[in-house]
Amino acid sequence: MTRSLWARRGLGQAAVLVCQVCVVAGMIGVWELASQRQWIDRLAWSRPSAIWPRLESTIRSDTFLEDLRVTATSMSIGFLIGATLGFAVGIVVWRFTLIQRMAEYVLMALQAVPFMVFYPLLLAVFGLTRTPVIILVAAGVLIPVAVNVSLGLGNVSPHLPKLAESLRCGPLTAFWKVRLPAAMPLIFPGIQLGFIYAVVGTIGMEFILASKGLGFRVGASYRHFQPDQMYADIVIVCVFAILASVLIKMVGRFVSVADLQ
Amino acid sequence: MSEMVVPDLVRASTSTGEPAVKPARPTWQSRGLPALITIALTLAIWLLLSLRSPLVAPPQAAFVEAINGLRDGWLRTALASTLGSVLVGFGAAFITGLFVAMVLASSNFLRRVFDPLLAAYGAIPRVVFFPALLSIFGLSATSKQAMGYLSAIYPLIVTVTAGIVSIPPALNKLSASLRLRGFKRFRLVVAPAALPSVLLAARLGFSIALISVIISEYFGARSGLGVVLSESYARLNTDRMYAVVLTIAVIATVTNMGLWSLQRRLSR
Repeated sequence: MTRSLWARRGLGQAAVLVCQVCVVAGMIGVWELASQRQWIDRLAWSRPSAIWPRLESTIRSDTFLEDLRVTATSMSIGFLIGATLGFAVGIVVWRFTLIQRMAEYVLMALQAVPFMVFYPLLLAVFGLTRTPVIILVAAGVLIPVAVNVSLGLGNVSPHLPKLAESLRCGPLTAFWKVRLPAAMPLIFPGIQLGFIYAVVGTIGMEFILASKGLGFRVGASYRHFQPDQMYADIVIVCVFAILASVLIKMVGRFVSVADLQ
Repeated sequence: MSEMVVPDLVRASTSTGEPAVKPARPTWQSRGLPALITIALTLAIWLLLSLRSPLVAPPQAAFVEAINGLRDGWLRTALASTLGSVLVGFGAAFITGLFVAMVLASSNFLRRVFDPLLAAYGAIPRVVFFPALLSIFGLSATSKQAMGYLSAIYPLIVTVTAGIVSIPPALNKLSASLRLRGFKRFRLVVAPAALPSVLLAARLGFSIALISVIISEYFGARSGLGVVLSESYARLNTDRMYAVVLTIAVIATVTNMGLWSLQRRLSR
C-alpha cells in the first residue's frame, strides 16, 4: 500500500475509535447529568459517580472472587459438556435425514421454552448443587453446536469426499481428515455461539435459580434494596460478558488465520 | 438440509449474508411425517419421565389442566397479559430496530462505529437488566415490556442490517439505471429484497421477546404466564406448571411455523 493509503486507513480507524469513545462517554455523561439535574430518580436510576466507588470496593471483596470463581467454573464445565455432546449429536443428525427433519421441529418448540422449568426435576435428582445449572447450560450450548456441526458437515463441497475416495481413504479417515476440517468454517461459529450462550446462560440461570455467582449477586443486591450496589453488580456482569465474547472472537480469528496457512 | 432457526443466526453472525444452504422444496410427506414422529416421541419421553418422577406432571394431566385453564379463565388472563406485553415490547423493538437498521445499512462508517458497540451489547445477558427495570418502572407491565424490548432489539438490528447490506449490488445498479429514487426505490427494490431478512428477524425477535417477558414475569410481575409458572412451582402444582410449559411450547411453535412459512413463500 502506498503511504497515503496507509495514512487514510489509519485516519479512518482513528475516526471510528473517536466516535465510539464519544458515544460511550456521551451515554455515561448524559446519565450522570440527568441524575444530577433530577430529570431521573436518584434511587431508581442511580448515577455513574455513585456506582464507581461501589465497583472498586466490590472488586476487592472476597465475595466477588468467590462469585467469579463459581460463575467461571460453571460456565466452562457447562460449555465443555455441551460442546462435546453437541458435536456428537450434530454428527448423528447429519447422518440420518429423518432425524434432521425431526430436529427442526424440536428446535422450534424448544426455542421458547424456558429450560428452567426442568430445574425442579434436576433439583430433586442432584440436590442444591451447581449441577442443575451446569446441566441446563450444557443443554443450551448443545443446540447451536449440534446445528452448526450438522450444517457444516452437510455443506462440504462434494469434490472433497470424492478426493478422499480416490486417495483410498477408509470411511473414518475420510471423515476426520477430510470432511470435518472442511466443515470447520461453519462449525466454528456454532462453537462461538455456544460459548456466548454458556456465558449468558450461566449468568441468567444464576440470576433466577442459584445462591452464588455473578448473576445471583445482581438479584441479591436488588432484594436487599441496594440500588447503587445492584448497578455496580450489573456493570461487573456486563464487563465479564463482554470480555468473554472478545476472548472467543480472538480465538476465532486465530483459528481462521491458522486455517489459511 | 432445509432451513433451521439457529443456522440463520450463523448467517447473521458470519456477516456475509449469503445463505449457507438453499432450502429444498419439501413434500407433504417429508414435512408431515417427521413432525408427527417428533410430537409422538416427545410425548413418549415426557410420559416416561412423569412415570419415574412425581415432579414431572404427565402430559395428559398438563393437557387437561390447560384446557380447564382456558375454560376457567386463569390461562386466558395469563396469556392475554403475557402476549400483550410481548407484542408491545416486540412491536416497539421491531419499529425502532428497522429504523436503526436502515440508518446503519446506509453508512459504512456508522456500521464500523456501531458494530463493536452492538456486539458488546449483544454479549451481555440482558436478564440482568431486569432488576434495574423493576427499580425504574416498578412492578408494572412496563418493566416486562421494556425487558422484551431490550432483548429483541439486538437480534432485530443485527439481522435486518445484515439483510439490507447483503442486497446484491446488481439490484442497486438496476434501480440506478431505472432512475428510481427515494421512496419508489425503497418500495420496489430495497423492501422486497430485504423482506426475507426482516421476516427472519421478526421470527427470532418474537421468540426472544416471548422468553424474556416470561422470565421477567417469573422474577417479578403482577400477572402473566411466568407468574403462574412461579406460583405453581412454589406450590409444587406440577400439573399447572407443565400446562403452562405446554402452552408456551405451542405458542412458540405456532408463531415460528407461521412466520417461517410466510418467509419461505415470500423468498421464492
